[in-house]
Amino acid sequence: MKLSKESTQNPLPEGRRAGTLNRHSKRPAESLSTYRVDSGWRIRRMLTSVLLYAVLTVLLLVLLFPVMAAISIAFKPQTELLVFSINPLPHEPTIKNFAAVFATGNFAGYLFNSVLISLTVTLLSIIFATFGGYSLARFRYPGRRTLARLILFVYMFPASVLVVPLFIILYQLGLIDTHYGLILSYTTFALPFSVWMLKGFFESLPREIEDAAKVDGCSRTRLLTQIVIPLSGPGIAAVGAFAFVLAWSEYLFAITFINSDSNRTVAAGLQLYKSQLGIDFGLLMAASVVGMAPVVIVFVLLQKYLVAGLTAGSVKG
Amino acid sequence: MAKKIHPLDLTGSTKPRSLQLPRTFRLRHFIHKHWYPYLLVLPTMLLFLGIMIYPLVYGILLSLEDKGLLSSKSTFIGLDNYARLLRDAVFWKAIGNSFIWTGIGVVGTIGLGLVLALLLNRILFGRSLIRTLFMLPWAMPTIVTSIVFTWLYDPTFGYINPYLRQMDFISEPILFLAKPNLALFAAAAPMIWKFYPFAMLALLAALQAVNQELYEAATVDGANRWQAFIHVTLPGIRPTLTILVLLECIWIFNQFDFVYILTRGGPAHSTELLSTYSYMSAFDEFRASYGAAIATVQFVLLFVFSLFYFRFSGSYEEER
Repeated sequence: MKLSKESTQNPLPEGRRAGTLNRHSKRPAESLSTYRVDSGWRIRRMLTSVLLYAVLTVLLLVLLFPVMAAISIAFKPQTELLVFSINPLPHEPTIKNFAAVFATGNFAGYLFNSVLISLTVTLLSIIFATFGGYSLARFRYPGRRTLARLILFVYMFPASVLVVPLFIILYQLGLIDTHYGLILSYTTFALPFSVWMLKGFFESLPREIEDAAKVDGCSRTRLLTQIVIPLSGPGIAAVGAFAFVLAWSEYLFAITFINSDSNRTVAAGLQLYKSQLGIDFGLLMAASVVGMAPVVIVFVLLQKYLVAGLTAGSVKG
Repeated sequence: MAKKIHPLDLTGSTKPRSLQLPRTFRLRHFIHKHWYPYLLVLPTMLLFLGIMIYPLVYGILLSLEDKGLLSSKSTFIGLDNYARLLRDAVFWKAIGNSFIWTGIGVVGTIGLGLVLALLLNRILFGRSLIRTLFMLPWAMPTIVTSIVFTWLYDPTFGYINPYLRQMDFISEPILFLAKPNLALFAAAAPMIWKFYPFAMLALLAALQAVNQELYEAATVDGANRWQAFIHVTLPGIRPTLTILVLLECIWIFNQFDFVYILTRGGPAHSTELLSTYSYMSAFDEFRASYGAAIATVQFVLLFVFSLFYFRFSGSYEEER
């Protein structure tokens, strides 16, 4: 087939690039979606970005001011605390307040109790929530759906409604002023959300892996412990973070179920410091910083998993 | 020779397996089939029964008696405690405060959370870090937050009052926690501070789930930014927003720590909530039954809230 006469006799005019014959400008062809990206719009987009970041920074400074002020006050010496300055930062930072925290009361004991209780609660919550969540996710049995709804319902039970009867029950069992009462209570309060989160997580694991293992003759328990659990790192991390933060920060049961100084947790200890040393804010802030450090550290390390669990689990939309 | 048939195999009958077996066998078959998942949930269920359900029932029964906190004897007095509650002015103040408290909390938390979620949705670089920073208040223990806000509000050694004094905005210190009308709002501030991160997180997830093509369609139809917000964004996040409002209502209604630590019920019960009133009746005045009655009322109101929650969350889940 011969080439048509036109194509061989109509080469591009002088100086023209291919594809620009019918265009009015010499710039290369632009698609419709990029027409905005000429200099006027680019500057406007950059300004919007800068403005957004500026607003966010201001909001961040305002909202985090309490935390930053607390930390800086903890390092202020007594002389600076008596005179007000707009600038919350100390001129001569000191760690005397922190030394005073441990000297004034049994704060080291409080820390020990809190660590013990929180770690136990975290461990128990992870174990029980894994079992419960797996049962709800992968098995079919009568009452399964009722159980799931019961767990959601129980999630909303407030500690303030249960504290009076629970105190009396624990008192009659002789569990007041022991760690056990707190451990049991905190685990129970951490479980609804933990079970729900892990249930969702297990349901999202692909069934093929479990089916393949079953075909190979894997028993149910081995399936759970050697296949499902190792794959559930993120879910377990989220549950662990949640349970730890709950157990460490809990206040109501901590002040109600424990009386003696040797069994007290950090939350109750801080309350004690506050009511007895109300004006010495340097010491109070130092105690607060020590009291919140573990929980903040755990949160910052594991927040990625917690956020994933929170957004996927409890609020569906 | 008759072929060996395993007792648990189907033998051609069309009845379900469980009904084929003789009655005595049915229970054993049920246990044989389902013991494993039931065992897995057993620890969880035991804890729920022991620490949540049983105390709840015990508390309701307690409210029908007359019992001191540490005494072992009690007399049944029926609904007398509730009759006393209806005549108790503090009780009615507490209910009113609880509802106002919930209203302030929900508006503040979700308002702030929505603003932050909208802002965070627009940036890409460093979103994770900024989001983590904004979430910090949620991780702080309530006692620590309360201590910090007590300091902020302190008339002499705090921050807000000396600051305003130095800028000559005021001449006398504002007694945030001692003025009857102001105290409830002052105590609500740390509560909003603690609960806004969850709202921000949920709304951010919802915003990201809105179909971006809808925005393009709106632009094609000539909508400006505000119209796009009203007609695309808000309807898009409505399911999450509804559930969020209900959840926050429930949590804030149940809140105890901040009010108790900051004001102990406030100047002349102006910050008294149902939760604090129940606690203080039982533990400061040793009237356990009376406290249990208040707690039961709180639970009934909570139950009504949660019915709404279940209705909404169930219907949205079925929609998907």
